[in-house]
Amino acid sequence: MATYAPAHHSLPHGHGHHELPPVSHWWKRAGWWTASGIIFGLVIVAFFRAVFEQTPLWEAKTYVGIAAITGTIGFLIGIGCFDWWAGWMIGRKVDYHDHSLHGARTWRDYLRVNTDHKVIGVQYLVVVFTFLCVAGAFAELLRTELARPGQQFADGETFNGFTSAHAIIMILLFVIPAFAGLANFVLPLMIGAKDMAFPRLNALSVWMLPPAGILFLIGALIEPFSSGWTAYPPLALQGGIGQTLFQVGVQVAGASSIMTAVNFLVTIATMRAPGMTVWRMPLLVWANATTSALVVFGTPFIAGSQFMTMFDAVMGTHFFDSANGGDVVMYQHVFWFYSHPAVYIMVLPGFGIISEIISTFSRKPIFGYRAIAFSTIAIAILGFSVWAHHMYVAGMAPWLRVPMMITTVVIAVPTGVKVFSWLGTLWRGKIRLKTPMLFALGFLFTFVLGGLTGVYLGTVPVDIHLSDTYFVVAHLHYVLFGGAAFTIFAGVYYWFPKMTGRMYNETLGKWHFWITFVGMQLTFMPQHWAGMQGMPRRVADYDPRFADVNLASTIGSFLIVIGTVVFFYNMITSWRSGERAPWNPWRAKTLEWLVSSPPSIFNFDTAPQVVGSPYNYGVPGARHAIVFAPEEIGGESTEQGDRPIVVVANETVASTALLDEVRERAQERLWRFELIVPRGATERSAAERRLATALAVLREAGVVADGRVVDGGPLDAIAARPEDTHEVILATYRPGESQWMRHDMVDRLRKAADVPLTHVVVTRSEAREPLGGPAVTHLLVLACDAAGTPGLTDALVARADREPISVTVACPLGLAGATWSEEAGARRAAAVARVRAAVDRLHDAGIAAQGEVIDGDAAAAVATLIPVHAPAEVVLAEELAGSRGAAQAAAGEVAVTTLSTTTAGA
Amino acid sequence: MTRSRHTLPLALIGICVFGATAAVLLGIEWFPERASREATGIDNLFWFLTWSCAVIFTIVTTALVYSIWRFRAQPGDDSDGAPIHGHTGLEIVWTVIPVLLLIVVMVWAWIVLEDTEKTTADRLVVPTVAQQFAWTFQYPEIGAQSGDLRVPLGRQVELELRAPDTDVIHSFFVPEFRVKKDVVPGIVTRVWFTPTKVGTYPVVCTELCGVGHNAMRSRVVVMPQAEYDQWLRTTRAKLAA
Amino acid sequence: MATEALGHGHHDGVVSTDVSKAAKLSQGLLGMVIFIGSEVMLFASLFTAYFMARYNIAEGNWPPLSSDGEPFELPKLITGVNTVILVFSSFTIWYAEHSLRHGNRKGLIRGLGLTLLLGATFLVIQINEYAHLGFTPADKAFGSTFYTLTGFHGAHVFVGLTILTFCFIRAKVGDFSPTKMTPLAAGSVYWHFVDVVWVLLYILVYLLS
Repeated sequence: MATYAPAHHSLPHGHGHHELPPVSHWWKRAGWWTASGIIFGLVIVAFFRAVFEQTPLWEAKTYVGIAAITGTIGFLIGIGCFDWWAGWMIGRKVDYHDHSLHGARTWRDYLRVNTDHKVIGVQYLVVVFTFLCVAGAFAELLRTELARPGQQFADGETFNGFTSAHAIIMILLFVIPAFAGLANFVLPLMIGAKDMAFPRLNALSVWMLPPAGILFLIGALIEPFSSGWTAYPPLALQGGIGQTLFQVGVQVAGASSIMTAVNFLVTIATMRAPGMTVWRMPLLVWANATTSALVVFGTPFIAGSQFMTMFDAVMGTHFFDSANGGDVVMYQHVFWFYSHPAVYIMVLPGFGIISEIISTFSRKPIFGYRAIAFSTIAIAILGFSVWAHHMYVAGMAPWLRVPMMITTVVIAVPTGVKVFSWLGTLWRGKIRLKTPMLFALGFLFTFVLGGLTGVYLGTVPVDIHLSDTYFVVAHLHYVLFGGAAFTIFAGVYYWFPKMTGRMYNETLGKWHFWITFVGMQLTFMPQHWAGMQGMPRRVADYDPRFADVNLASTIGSFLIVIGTVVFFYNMITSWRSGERAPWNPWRAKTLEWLVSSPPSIFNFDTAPQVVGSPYNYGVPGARHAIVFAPEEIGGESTEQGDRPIVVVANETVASTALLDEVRERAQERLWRFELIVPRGATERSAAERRLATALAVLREAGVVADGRVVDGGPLDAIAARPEDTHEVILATYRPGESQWMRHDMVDRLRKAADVPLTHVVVTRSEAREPLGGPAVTHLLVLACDAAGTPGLTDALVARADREPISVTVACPLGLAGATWSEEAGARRAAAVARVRAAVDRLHDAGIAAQGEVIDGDAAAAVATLIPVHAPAEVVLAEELAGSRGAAQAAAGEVAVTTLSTTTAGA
Repeated sequence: MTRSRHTLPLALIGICVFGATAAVLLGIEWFPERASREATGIDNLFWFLTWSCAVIFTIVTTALVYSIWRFRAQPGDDSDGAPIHGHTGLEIVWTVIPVLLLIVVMVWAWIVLEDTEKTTADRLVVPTVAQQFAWTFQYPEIGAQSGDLRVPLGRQVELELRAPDTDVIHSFFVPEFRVKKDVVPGIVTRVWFTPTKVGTYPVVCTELCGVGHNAMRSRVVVMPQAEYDQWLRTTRAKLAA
Repeated sequence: MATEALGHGHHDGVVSTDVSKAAKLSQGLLGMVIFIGSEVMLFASLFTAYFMARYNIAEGNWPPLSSDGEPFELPKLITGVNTVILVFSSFTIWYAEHSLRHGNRKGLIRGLGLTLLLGATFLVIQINEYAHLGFTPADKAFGSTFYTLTGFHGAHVFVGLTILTFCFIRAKVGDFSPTKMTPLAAGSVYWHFVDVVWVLLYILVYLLS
């Protein structure tokens, strides 16, 4: 495995790196700025309320809303997110490549603004797992209240606050940013980049999360927002300052997620390593690209919805006031236009993680790579056309229901394609049940159940019964716990060695999985039944007949807590004192595993070269990428042309199309080329001549190439390949023309070769075109009567055995007088036939040739054709030896020789 | 050859999984009592969906369990699996079959939906007001209103659902009737059902409507036509008195 | 080959910009275009609110009656003039960019300055319009949607002006060259976007009411 970690963990020199102040400096500054921001906000509101004579002067929601915004901005300024930009804005001299905030040398560097995507990734994960605890605590509170019928310790309002806080914090501060965090760490490494496209924006995104979470938390604690995470007006308008903080929090978290998404999209579009074509991108990259598009185009809708509710609540607007022309249902349209795609924002990155893990731990190529990639895109596009399936009973336009049902149900198809493809990947693999794989398989089981219940909820008549019942709660937790939380855990375990440089404890990991898996099923499985029976969601109290299922749910949820405690214990102890992780503990193929654990400060010294699919497990000699580094530390920058690519072609071997492909691959400077010509029914000598021509052209271009002719067909050629063949390039004629294609040779070779196969298609006429360049001597052969004779061919073949040649056969008719006479026409036709015969003979002999018929004499032919064909030499057949003088005069610099055509050997 | 090696264990696991699934589906009373004409169509569609899903679930789980058991690497085995990159035929199959199944579901659902919302001319129209946190059902013909919904057996009922402009969204749900509709300030929504069984069933608010949401319950009393008429008369008399 | 382009990166620690050169795509500009996609959707959500409020009112009754019982009236003419001012500023920012591309720094400063002036004029006229409209955001859903749409647009004009002000400062201190002008180009694209939104808004909300 080509892996490399630069030993020096110092920052690059050359741009005035200075010592950073200690962490406490930033936090003190953040404290002062936050306080000032809040005070500024309060003063501004008071000022404007006084100026515009708004009474009363004190109106809590307005003050709190504005102060929350200014306080957040103050915090971000104080912690240092805007320092560089501020310098730029006021016209100070700035270093565009300022890396003073990049990288972590001690744990303290994780506590300040940092522009290193790896540090940011870890910051994300620490923040989101902190909020997982907060949201989980709310979940346990509500499950405890629901353990028995009747009121335990929370009244309706408090209870509604629990559900709302649990949901919004889980969604906006756990699931969505957890994926952003994992991708932040992994994605740039995976595509061979040194960082994200906008490192400073990246830092800003992560630092916006804690304020957003704290706004939710303050809101939930002081005056709970209790209208659910969906915050439907008019109920949301009845909320107090908690609801206002909720509205601001959504904006802050949403802005963070839009900025991250823009960053990912630009990174993926512009920073892929050489050779990383879109079809070589790991599926995680596909998933994140698609998710980012969803975030960019969807999130503004939830922002719009929260702006409108906020204006209704604090400014007295009437968006949702039906007495004043407002529209209550409009909120739901706008809200779900984001929040349904948000469901895919919360699972598509998980699908990406699962694709990586299942392939790695099955040690098999991912089954149907393109199908998975396309299904991701299909889900994203369809995801924008299904929002109103949340509103079948909401009083929206009835005609909208059936179209929404169709699009909703259709989404099951690409989702099914993914599930089946993962199963196909498992089939005949070599499955290793490490913790990440356990979570991946647990995901598969759970998500299938959640996906199937999704079809119920998409089907209008069934949904009419199930809508807003516990069936929905069960469904959404099967997809979000199974689809998102399991995949996040899987991803954290999978990349833990890469992030921390240490291995997690496998035994504890397995305990975590089994406890969580059982707890999860126990919590949510019974809720299907409760929903079917008609238990509505979001109720603090319920009919006593639901007591048993609710108790089971509560017990299950406590099991999940135990599992999570095991997880945190494992993470913390392993991070502190786990076993040192090797670079590639899973023997995976993607790029992040080809660098050290943890990776060096700028990931790669030199951009790696991507040479194949990321999932070629079991393919002998296949590799995804090569990491360049000095040889003395185990890198491969000295590796040049040492692995063979086998080129299989017969009549097409000396064609421009094929040789161009080879030349292009040769530019990767990693390969030598072995041209194997299966001669089939053609003459061995002809095949050898073609091969010699091709080799001459390649060597002249500086390509390391070798070749031989073998008896038999392409399968024999493959059998004769070198053992460590990296890849096969096969050239054939077009489907209709090709004998090999008729025998399905492309697929058969692909199977026989066990390595990637590139198919180059060459047309018949292309294959016969003489090659240019100094390596091949191009002859302009003038012959008239001798053109069709074996004598001429033999003479040229004899010449071709000495050096690679290509030929233009030209017949000068030497017409005197009318060129349109019947006689002239007949002579011309005869000449064309002779020239064609000559070209065919030459081609059969393995010499590329083309023909011309010229009305004029030899001298005229030379004058006409030299500019067209640029021959290296003009050859006159014996019969035209007489015009040598004239021809030489016309040829100028180009040598003119004569050729005996009578020495024909029979 | 490969096929025969896998067939038997796959079939055995499949039978076990499907058996367990079927036991869960058949052994538990999933639906509440069925007490309206509309419920029948919905229930049938539900069960068609459920058995289709049971088959898909069985296929997936069987393949999953069998793969984990059969293709698990032995300790110390560092080799790779078979380099299979895909199979176009299979991929087409598992795209097309779900599509066909879903077309059936969609057409069926459309028919059921049309059927449940078909209105009859002699339906009983009950203007209904929902507000935090109570239901009020009105009987204009006798000028009465009631906290319980009383309806005659076998006659279609149409509720005209309204909420005051100053109120919030509620949702009318009777599990036994399989009907649900949001009550939205500013617009009138309608819900239809035809009771087929005498009895008392709960009316549940299923849209979060505030502190009293979980207590916003009422009852629907289905009574034979004669009894219903009797109730109308006594109520009118009581009002007059 | 791109390998070499990236290769020198590690000597001077250049992380991202050299890669963008290799990719022949300005990352800043691409990022701005994607972000504008997001902004378009924000306005789409507000237009949704506007059109749903409008759709709910019977045909021919738009604009509806205000709480005083008078139909809402919008100053089409003065806003039309304002629209022309904003559209004209799109040309001045284009002129600034064009000047920079051809090494005319004076033109750059002049174009930027003129754009700032026109943008500020637009905002002042708009605020003046608010003061004389005779209805408030709390005046029916019409007032709410009207003020929210135009207000959000005004906020975007303000953000655009802020970006261009900083570009102006950078240009004054001698920043930007024909090959290094991403912030200016991004600011300019944003400004064009703000203009296009306004033209749409003027047509849909003012003219077709």
